Amino acid sequence: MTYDSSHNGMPVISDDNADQFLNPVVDGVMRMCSAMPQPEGAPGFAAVKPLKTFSRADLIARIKQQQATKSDLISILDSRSVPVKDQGRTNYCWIYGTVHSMEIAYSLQGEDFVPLSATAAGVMITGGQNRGGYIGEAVQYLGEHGTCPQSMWPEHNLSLRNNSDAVESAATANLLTEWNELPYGDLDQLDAALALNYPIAAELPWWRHVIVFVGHTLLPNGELGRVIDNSWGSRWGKNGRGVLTPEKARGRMYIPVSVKPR
Amino acid sequence: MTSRTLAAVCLLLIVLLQFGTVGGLLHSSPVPGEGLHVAILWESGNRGEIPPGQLDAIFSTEVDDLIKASGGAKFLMDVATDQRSESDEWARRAFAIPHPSLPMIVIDRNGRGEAGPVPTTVDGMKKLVGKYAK
Repeated sequence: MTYDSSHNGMPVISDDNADQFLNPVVDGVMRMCSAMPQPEGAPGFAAVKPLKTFSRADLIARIKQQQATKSDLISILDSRSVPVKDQGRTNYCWIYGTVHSMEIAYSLQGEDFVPLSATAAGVMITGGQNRGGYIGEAVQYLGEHGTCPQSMWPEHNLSLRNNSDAVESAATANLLTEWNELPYGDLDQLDAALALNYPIAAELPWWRHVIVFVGHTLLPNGELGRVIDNSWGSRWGKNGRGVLTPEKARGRMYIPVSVKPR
Repeated sequence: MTSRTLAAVCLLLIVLLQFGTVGGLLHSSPVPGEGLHVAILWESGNRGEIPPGQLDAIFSTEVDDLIKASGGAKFLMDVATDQRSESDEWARRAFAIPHPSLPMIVIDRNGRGEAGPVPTTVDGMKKLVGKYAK
């Protein structure tokens, strides 16, 4: 299968061009792909009850119906101006992706958009180290402690001195309350979850990177592309968004089912 | 004035005091408040069981725009999540009313409103919200 290198202004990442997306320079900054595989024995998460999957024709019909009524996740994010995140020079894609999926869950709930500090959670998890990680540790921390707004702890500031009682208290207002995990690499389940407007944070082994799946797009060759929000700022791709071909979309996937109302 | 007429006038006065207008009786709100509020009660983790048209009605940005244009607010509330931290007092009251079947919509504009199943199409949802939007 051959692919165009871009679609609707978004880069299309396939086997043909994947190498150029490994640690590229974007907006003058080398971007780090630092997701680590989840260690054996790490706490697991409840597997979601298998979602009803679609035939290809039914899935495409469903996507078109959602787009026609502007009720798909991408329309919602655009209508509420929810921006992608920017991890800067940090190795924190694993926490940026997870926190972004949480911001999306808040937006779906009808809450005003409050940019959350992924750095705050990352620093608290790592003790201030600029290191890679995996979604499981991000999810566990965000479920227990939450994270504060960016206004209280600016992104890219890795100093533990930002922490305070006020920061910790504010963090508890932005808490994950329920998460589930999709079967590893199962694109049918990924598609079914996207059709239900779940944002899906995913660790992709080929990329050593965490992104958030937010929707579908039908590519000119008839293949279905999965649209992602990256964490390399809005100057990457089209406003921070790109497309993964099926062979590049398989990985460990997490769904934020609900967040604490605020 | 006969006693029957007097009784009718008294009844009308009671209705007016209770609901503001006679029309209000037709749409007396289960959760009266100020301004436009829309709450959708559902179970987020169970959304795979919701028919597609109803799901679109829940998520439609066109409906959101209608609510926003009227200065209103929409709340999507998961019945499986503790809602005590919800800062909006009207939304907390809407969540507290019985919800025998899900997904359910509660809508109010200045004391006029209703509660019931979420419409099964976006057009149906726009029609329902449109009754209360400006």
